[in-house]
Amino acid sequence: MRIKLFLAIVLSLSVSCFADSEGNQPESLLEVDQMKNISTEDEQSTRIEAGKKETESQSSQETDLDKKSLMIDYCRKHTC
Amino acid sequence: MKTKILANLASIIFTGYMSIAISAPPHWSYDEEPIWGAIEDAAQPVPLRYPYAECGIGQHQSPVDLADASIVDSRPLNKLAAKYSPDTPTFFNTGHAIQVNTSKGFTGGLKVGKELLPLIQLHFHEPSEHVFGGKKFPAELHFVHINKDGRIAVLGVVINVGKENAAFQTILDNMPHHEGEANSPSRVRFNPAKLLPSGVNAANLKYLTLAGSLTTPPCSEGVQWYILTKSITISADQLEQMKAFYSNNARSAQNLNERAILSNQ
Repeated sequence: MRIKLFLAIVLSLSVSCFADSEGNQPESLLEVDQMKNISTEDEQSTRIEAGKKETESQSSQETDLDKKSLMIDYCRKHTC
Repeated sequence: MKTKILANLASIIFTGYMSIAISAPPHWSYDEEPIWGAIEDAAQPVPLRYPYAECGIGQHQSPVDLADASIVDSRPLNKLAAKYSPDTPTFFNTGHAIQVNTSKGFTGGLKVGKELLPLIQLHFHEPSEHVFGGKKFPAELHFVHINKDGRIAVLGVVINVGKENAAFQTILDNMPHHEGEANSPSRVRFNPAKLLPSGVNAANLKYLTLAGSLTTPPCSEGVQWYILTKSITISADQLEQMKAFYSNNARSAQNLNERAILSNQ
């Protein structure tokens, strides 16, 4: 239990350490670049969202299979 | 070097033993039925320390006294069909009941409406678990089905004493006598359909249905019960043979808590 708690704390700290941070640059020089970055980020977020949905659907299917296989295994070994 | 290898081996064996000891559910018996909900697993932290808590606090527990319920026969219900076929099962002594586990490739099941719930195992209780007006029957058979999302549907068949049942004799003849023993592979052809009442239409069964639970710990709820209105018979001698394995392995009737029982009769 303590090990699980320790690992959870370490994981959450490492995620926060690697979070993106914004740098300081003169505004006038960045306008065009910022527009390009925004559209690139939009494409990336769309891909990430699509990837997330696919992962959620897969994990939902895996969860259903897990539930079924756990129950089947349990009921084969015990008088349900 | 040798000492290191021996020490590592010893720690692996110890860890394996401990993990089995820790992960095995706590023992329960029918003598302890009134306190199933309070059986403690000391190896677990507090929220998980009472793995059978639902037996004590669940509101939709099984079995029930069928006479206590209001039976509703006006609502249209799903057609129920037992689609069982010959199999080469495992005969398994669970330590609480005699049980037949279908083989991994078995495709038979209970068709509820359009959905087929695969048959996983069948087992027996003596006396019956479901009662009528307090009256227990000599025994009860449970066919246990589990569908694709892990939900359980149990088909219950009351057993009376009368004509000998050949399919039941096959079970008795091939059942190991000790707890935890399995006759597998059995090489015995067995058809679960032969344990259904004679004279019924297996493709359109008459039943009572209610929401309930497993009748053994952990007493998990969300089990849909289908109880046939017709019974099967076994001979008096077969009943004694069954009792030689396990007797009084039946949970007492639980509170209905305003559940209605639906009927398609």
